[in-house]
Amino acid sequence: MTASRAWGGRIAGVVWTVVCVFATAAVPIGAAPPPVDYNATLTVAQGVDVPTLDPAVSAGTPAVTVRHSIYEGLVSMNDRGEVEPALATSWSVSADGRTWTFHLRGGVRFQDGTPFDAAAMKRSLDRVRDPKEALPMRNYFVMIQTADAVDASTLRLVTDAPFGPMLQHLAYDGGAAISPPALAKYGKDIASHPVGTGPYRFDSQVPGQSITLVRFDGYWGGRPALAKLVFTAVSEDATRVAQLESNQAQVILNVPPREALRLKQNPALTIVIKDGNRVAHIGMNVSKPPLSDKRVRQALNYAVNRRGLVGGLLDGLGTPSESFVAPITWGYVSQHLYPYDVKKAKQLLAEAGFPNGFDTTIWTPQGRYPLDKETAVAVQGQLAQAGVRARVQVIDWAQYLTLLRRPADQNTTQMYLLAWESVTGEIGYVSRTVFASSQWPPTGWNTMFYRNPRVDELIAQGDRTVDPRTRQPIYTEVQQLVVDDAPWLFLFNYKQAIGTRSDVHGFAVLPYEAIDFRKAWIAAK
Amino acid sequence: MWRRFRRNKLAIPGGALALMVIAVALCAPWLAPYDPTAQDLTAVVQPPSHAHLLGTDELGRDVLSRIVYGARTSLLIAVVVLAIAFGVGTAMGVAGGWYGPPLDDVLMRIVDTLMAFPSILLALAIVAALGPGVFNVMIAVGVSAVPPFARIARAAVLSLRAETYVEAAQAIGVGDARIVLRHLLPNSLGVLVVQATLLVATAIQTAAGLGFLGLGAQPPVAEWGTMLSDSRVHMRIDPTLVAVPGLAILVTTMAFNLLGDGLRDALDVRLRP
Amino acid sequence: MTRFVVRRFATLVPVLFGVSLVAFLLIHLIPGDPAEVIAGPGAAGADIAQLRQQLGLNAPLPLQYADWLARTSHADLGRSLLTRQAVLPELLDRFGNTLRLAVAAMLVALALGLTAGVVAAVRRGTVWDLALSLFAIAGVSVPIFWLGLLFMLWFALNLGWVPATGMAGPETYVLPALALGLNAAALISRITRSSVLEILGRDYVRTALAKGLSARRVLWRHVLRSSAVPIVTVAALQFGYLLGGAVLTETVFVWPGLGRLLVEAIQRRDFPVVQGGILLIAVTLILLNLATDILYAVADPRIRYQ
Repeated sequence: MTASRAWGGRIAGVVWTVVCVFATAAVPIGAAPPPVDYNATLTVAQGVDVPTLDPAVSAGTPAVTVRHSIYEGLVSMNDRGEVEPALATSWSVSADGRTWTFHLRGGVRFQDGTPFDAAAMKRSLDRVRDPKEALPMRNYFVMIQTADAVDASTLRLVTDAPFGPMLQHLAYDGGAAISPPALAKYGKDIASHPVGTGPYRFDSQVPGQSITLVRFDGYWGGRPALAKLVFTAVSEDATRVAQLESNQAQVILNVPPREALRLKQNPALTIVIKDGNRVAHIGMNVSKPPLSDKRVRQALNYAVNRRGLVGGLLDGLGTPSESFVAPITWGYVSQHLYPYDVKKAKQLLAEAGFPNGFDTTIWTPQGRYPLDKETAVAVQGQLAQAGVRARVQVIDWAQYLTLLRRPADQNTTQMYLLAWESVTGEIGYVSRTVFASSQWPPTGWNTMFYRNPRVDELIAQGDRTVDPRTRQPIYTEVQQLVVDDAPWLFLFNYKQAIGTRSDVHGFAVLPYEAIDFRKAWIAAK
Repeated sequence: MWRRFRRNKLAIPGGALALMVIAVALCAPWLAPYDPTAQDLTAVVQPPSHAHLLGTDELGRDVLSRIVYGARTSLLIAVVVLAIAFGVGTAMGVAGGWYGPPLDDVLMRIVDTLMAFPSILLALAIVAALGPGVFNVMIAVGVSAVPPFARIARAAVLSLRAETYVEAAQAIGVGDARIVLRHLLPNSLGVLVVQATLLVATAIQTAAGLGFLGLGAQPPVAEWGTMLSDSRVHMRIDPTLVAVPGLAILVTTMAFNLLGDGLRDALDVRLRP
Repeated sequence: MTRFVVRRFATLVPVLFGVSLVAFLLIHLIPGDPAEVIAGPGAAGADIAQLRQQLGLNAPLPLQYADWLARTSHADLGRSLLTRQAVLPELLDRFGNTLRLAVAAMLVALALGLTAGVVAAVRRGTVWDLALSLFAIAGVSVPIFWLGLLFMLWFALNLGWVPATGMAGPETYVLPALALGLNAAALISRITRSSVLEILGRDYVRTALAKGLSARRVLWRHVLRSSAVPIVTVAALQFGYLLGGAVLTETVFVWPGLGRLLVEAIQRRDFPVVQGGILLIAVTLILLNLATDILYAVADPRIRYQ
């Protein structure tokens, strides 16, 4: 062997060794994900119970979370608020914006074996739209005039006028496909015998405690990763946290802020903090003085220290409001109004004729929203600095809604705490439901009795605009007007803190705070 | 009688403790270091410190001050409850016992109906009907406390009615009301006093229970049961918030129970209605 | 004896009627609309009205009451307004859970109470007696929900010995039964003490001790047997109290019992559930009281002739 060849061999050897070392080192860096444990049970501890599994009955976000694992609709929403194909693989909308044609996925079966087709989807949509059924979710689909199964795999919806957020409405709970034979068999009891097309089918329920779902092997989207998916109701915060720490639950919702900080130190746990879409505010009945004066309402907004509320009450798990929807909701544009300025508040109040403030009452529920009562009391304390003497009254939820929705001449509301969430992930829902003057009680939920003709005009326009790019400027103006008119005392947006074991992956936190567990999996040990 | 009271070793401390609680309640404005409603959102859920001997709650309010004012709320509730139960209950019992059937049957059926419900459920339903608030709590707990008084009063009237002096008084034409007030009630006073003392203990407990369920005094009024309920969230971070209000309820209830027991032993009465 | 029982049963009827009326009225007179709660914020006013109609809430009250009474006599308590599930099966199921807890609490109460009472009586006048008396009063005075929270904090959350909430295996019974039973234990210990003391003073007991029988045997065969009646009657009454106290304990420990169901049903104005639940509890307590009265009558013949 010549010297150069020997050298070449040595260099090749060195290079080869180096390559091998890097190759083995590189494996963890660009590693394949850990293997999936297909025998795993995932237990999710939520703060409240799920009273019904009927997708057409509104029952709170925990119920939506459970139903999303059992049922699917034509489309679904991902964690960025985008609409994705689910039971429909593609869709198109006609030029006049009124006809939506959906091409349905083939080879899909319900959990009881029934094949899924356009007729089945039509049946479910007809059910939720039927006035005789009086289902609470009907309001989300009232704009659909007809639903036709053109053929087995094509569904056509015709709306009475072009409706921009049609897809977002279909992505929410009420648009779920329910198995027609199951509907026929169970009727009203479908609420406790749900049959959908989702990856997990209903197994059993202990009322008030837990719901157990098991893997549906015939799921169109491939073999679901979990053998069992269990949702428990644990209302005691400290207990939920303890369950996560002891691995009795692998995912817990609504982690209290201070606990979140403590749990983060634990390497076996992962704390996920997401912006929520719930906007806490204090609505004001603007039909009566002194709140009928815009200056007074603006003064109150100047008198509240939002940052202080978020820091003290929520321990940072929130963001001060800058609009009537949260940043995560499509359409949000920050308005940058009303910094904390007590002097300005007093000045405005004096201008409006209340140099010594005035008396008012703030209604609040208790236990409905995180720290709701405490928020009202905190605001009461802050308003006192500007001379406004507010009395806090805790009213139980069942009465709360009834009182808020009394017609104008019988309505005694002054100020009330509420937190709207944009369940469709876009701003049109709250705009139309809360700020349109056609929605004054008892018809709807404009419980402030607010009227701004320009806002009404814009809202109607926004509904009829299908193209998101043309919709946005409409709602930008709506936000400007509403924030300036200040029918609300804007407070803050909640953030969601979810605690999980670190070997849990694949779940998606949706913009309306429900969690999509369809693709969740647990790593094998 | 006083001697027997003193012999009961637990009665004296009980009585003293009860007096202390009453004193705290009456002198609250002078005893509390801070305004119980003064918030400080920058000092939320603080452990006990020099500035705040028992720490602060979820709105930064001084816990010690709220406990002191809470005594006021609790005792106020107890007094009104006593008035309602005593007034209504005794009236019902006396009327029924004195006038006999059919009034007696009707009134006793009502009492039996009330007794058929566990008192907290009855109070719960009434407060749910009327809405939360100190006043409604008083009414609810008062109504649920009527039956024992009614039965005691009725038993007392029945047993004493047959006495000769009563017959004699009736014979000479003394009015019914006078007989009841001058002879019957004073004789059953002992039993009623014992029951009243024990009722104070129960009333404070039930009211605190309602507060715990979220049906008590409206914010920002300080009430021990409500304080307990509000502090559950922070249980692991600051157990003082949970321990202190409960301790207050325990000590106060115990004081009145000890006192009532001592009185019962001293008066040697048996509460078999 | 039979006349006594029959007479007592006869008084039941008006009381049952009154209870049903109260159960119905109480929840119906509470302001608040269940249709609003079920439909939730965001539902159209027209749909809420339609829902109310569908749930039969617009009929005049006396008619609703009559309808409910009629159906109740056929053991049909209607359907929950929210879940649309039949009320009676769910009530019975949850009541069963509450009963289980109450029984467990009763066992704790008897075990602790009897022991404490006997010890206090036997060691009368000593430090033991005083300490136990103090504990007894404390036991009666301590708020159940506070005790429950503390137990949960120490034994479940901090030490991890038992689960904190929920109803599953036997270890989940430990904390709630302890919290609920301690109260009753205190009362039972005091009754036991006074009963035992009374009997210890009796001649035949002194004779037995003089004859050389061991103290323990005397205790078992004579003393406890004779004090059984008052203790049992107090225990029976305490059971009724336990059912009521379960409301708070179930809330703290998230126990799927009837108390918690009622609290939630009242909050959302689920009329059929509340009416049925209150009726069920009241009937149980009435029957319990009746049984206690009969027991008294058996023990004390004088009562039968009242």
